[in-house]
Formats: sequence, C-alpha cells, structure tokens
Amino acid sequence: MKIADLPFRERPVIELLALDRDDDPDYAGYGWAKVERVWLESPHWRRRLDDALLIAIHAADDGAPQDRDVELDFEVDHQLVASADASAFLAHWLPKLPAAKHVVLVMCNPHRAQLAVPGVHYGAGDVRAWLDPGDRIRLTADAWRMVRRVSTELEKRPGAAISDEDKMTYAGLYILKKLDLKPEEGGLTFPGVLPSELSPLDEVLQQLAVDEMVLLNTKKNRWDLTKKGIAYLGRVIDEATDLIDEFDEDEMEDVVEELKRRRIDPLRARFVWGWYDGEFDDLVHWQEQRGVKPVERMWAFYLMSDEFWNELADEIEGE
Amino acid sequence: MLTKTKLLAAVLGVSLAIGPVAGCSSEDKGNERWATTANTNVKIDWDKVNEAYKQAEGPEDLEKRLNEIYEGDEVISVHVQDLDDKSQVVTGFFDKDSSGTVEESEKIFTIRREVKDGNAQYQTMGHGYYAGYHSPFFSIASGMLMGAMLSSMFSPTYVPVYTRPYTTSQSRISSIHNTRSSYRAANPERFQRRSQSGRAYGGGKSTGGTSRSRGGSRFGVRRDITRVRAA
Repeated sequence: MKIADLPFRERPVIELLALDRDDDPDYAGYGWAKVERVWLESPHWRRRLDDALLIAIHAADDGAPQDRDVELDFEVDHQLVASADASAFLAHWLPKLPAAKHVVLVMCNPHRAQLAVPGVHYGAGDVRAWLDPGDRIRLTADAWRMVRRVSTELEKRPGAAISDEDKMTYAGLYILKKLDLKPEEGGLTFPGVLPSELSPLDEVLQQLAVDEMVLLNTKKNRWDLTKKGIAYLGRVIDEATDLIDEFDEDEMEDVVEELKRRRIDPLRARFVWGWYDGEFDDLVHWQEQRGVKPVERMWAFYLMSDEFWNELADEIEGE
Repeated sequence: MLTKTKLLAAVLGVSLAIGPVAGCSSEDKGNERWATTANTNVKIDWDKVNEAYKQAEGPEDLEKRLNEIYEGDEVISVHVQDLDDKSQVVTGFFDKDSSGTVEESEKIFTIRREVKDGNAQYQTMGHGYYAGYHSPFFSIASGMLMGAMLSSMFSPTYVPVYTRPYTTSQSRISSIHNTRSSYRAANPERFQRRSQSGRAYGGGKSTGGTSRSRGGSRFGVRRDITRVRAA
C-alpha cells in the first residue's frame, strides 16, 4: 500500500492514544487529533503545549537504525500493509492536516534519530501516552526535541545560542553546584591543577575565584566554596524554585513571553530550572537520552561547547 | 497481610536468620553498604537490595522494590532464571539498548540463591561500576517473614517457575518509571539533595503520573520481519 492510500484520518484522541485501556502491547493504531492542551514530559522536564496537532504513528522497533529518520509500520485489520520512513510519511500527510500552533509526533524513536522536520516535536526512546486525573493528556519520552525552524534573536553569533559571557556565568553555576554537593550525591572535587578532561573549566574556575565564589585551598590542593559562593547558590536555588512554582503549569510560549517582559533571558531560566532539578548533573547521560550524536564523553567539553546551549535554546525556540 | 507462601513458610517452621555465614570479613571493602557509579555517582544501598530480594513476592514486585531503592534516572530491569530446582540467579541490569537481554556491560548485580547440603543461602555480587561489592552469604534457614520468591522453595510441591527466564519487558519499564515517579514525588525528603546554603536541590522530582493515570501504550511495534517500503 502507498503512503497516500493509508487510512490515516482524524480519530477521537482517547481512542487514538489508547487512553481507554492500560498499556496495550498490541496497540498499533494511528491517525491524528487536535487537542487544546497536551503535556510533553521527560524525566526532569515537562512542558505544556496548547493547540496541538497530535500525529500518532508507530515506529518499527526492529527497523533499520537511521541517524535522521525513523522507520514506521502501518497495519490494517492487524496486518502490516506498509512501512515507510517518518520523513516521507510527514512530507505527504503534514500539508494535508489542519494547522495548529504545535505539531507533536506521538511515535517511539528507538534509535534516537535526530529528525529533520522543522517545527515538529518528537521524542527520543519510547513514547507513551497517559491520561492523568483531570483528563490531562501526557506524553512521556526520555527526552523531547524539536527541530529549530530558523535562526532567531537568540543567536549571539553564527552557530551559537549563547554569548561567551553568559556561558561563563552558567558554567560557573554548574561548577559551584558540583562543589556544593557531597560526592555520593553527585558532587566533585576540583584539584588546583585540573586534569586534562576538565581543562575547559580552568578559565571558569579562575573567574569564580576573581568573583570570590571559590578559593584555592593550597593545603588540600583543591578548590573550595566560599561563603559568598554558598550564598550565591542559595539565591539561585531560590530563583529556580520561584520559577518552577510560578511556571510549572504554563505553556512555554507564555513563559518565554512573560520572562522577556521581565527582561529575564529565557535561556537562563531554562538552564537554572534544569540545573536545580538535576537534569544536567550527568551531561553524558543527558546527551544519550536525547539521541545527540556523536556523544561528547568528556562532560566538561560538552558544557563549554555551543552544542549544549543550542540544544537548550532549541526547546525555547520557535514557540 | 500474610501471603499463602509466607504462611507456608511459617507452618514449615522455617525461621530466617540473615547473617554472614561464610566468606567475607565485615571489614572487606567489597562489603561496603554503599557504592557509587563512576560516572553518575548514583548510589545503591546494598542492604536494601538484599532485603528487597528477601521480601519480594515475585519478579515484578522485586522490580518495583529495586527501583524505589535506586536513586538514579535509569530503570533497573531484572532477569530471573531458575538454573535447576535448587539454584536461582537474579540479574539486575540497565537495559540500555532496549533489547530485553542482559549484556555484560549492562549488569549491575547478580543475586545467586542455592541450596547446599540442605541449607539455602543467597549472595549478591556487583558488576560494572559496582564491581567489587559482594554481600555475605545470607542464610535462609529459619522463618522470619519473607516473600514468595524465597519462601516458595520451602514448599513440598515447589517447582522452579523460571526455568524459562523472566525478564523485565519494555512495557514494564515504562510502567515502573511512572510508578517510581509517583513514589519519588511522595517522598521528596529522600530524593532532595541538601545545599550548604541551607536549601535543597530538586532531583528526580517528577511531574505528572499518578497511580490513577491510565494508558501507557507505546507507539512502536516489533515484528521481526522483512519489510517492503511504501512509496
């Protein structure tokens, strides 16, 4: 059967997402539905989308791994009738579907491909649909990503979503948290002379020292937090909890607009949120969950790269 | 409430005494209660892991208990296999490639239960980042309460159930993740990390997902066939 001949049609969302039953392993239904509101959830992050077009399709778990596409299977009467790449499927069907502020692919992404369909939200790993009390529809994945539509004002220089100055500030916060926590809770000791794998952080630590947030403990040959650094951490934790308390239920677009009105950089808010909640504590795992390829195994290099900040900016982008 | 198997164990007069009976010195570094991973620093409380096995009613209950103990983001899958009517091996692993099979690099621990000379015992060994941990041999010789996973072996009609191994399915992993999120949200004091500023960091605090949530179907299918691409 050709892609164009598939019975891909609008269906009631409860039926489309199999929300009328629990964990149906044989469910292979597909179609589309428009919803007023949906939540996209990953282990440390949740975002609300209003006015969303949900496209429910099924990935072939045992399909060929592709870096930038996902193989799909389509059934009719429990018989496989077609297999197609998501990009080809969307190229045909997306223009035929009604407009919505957001487009969400409800589709597993077993090989964590990075799709190249602009403006479409998609998950990494298993994608599942839940109906929470209050008829709240929640889609879970290891991570949710979206392809950036065009470059915007967030771009500070070609290929970068952040200025060097802001990067230094946030990387400093990252280090301070590592110094703040106990080792068994994710803390780290930074020696006076950093090993090569941490070398990108040398300049950040020097700046923190100039700002009197850290002090080199010469006896123990390590960087220690100062009282000023601890107090600073307290203020940023308060900032994060205030953000979460105020915006946890809000749609990203509204949040970004409100932050801009208050002259707060949305990227700072996004970073501080994830920083507080532990989302970035293991940056290698973070990349793996999102399907970032290739994975930068040296987390300090990734923290100081443009790629990490571009990933965060992509979540804010295009709303 | 006592389960049938717990009652059976009690009727059999089996009292359970947990304690080192062989092998390891308590000062052995490999016996430390806590261990951390090399890259994530996620700790595992081995005392609780050993207790979870003792109390588990079955593999699914064991999965639930283990993932409430584990404080990292990953879900611990289990593979349970009865090697014969005396030996059982439980492997905890991170199913990183979603294959449903245990790869050596995915192993976290194995628990080996066996009967020797009429005495039952089990021991836990760490793997990978947790290599080096090895529990004492825990004797299963008397009748404190224990779950069906252990107590069933004392039944006169005992037949090994997992000669065909049980492995955590992909659908279970999602379900466990959801249940664990609710558990963590309900126990914030355990999953918050203290800052020297007197505040606490968040961590693993999840968002939605309650035991009253419905659905959970996944949007992928597995067929193990050769496909013909549609145009």
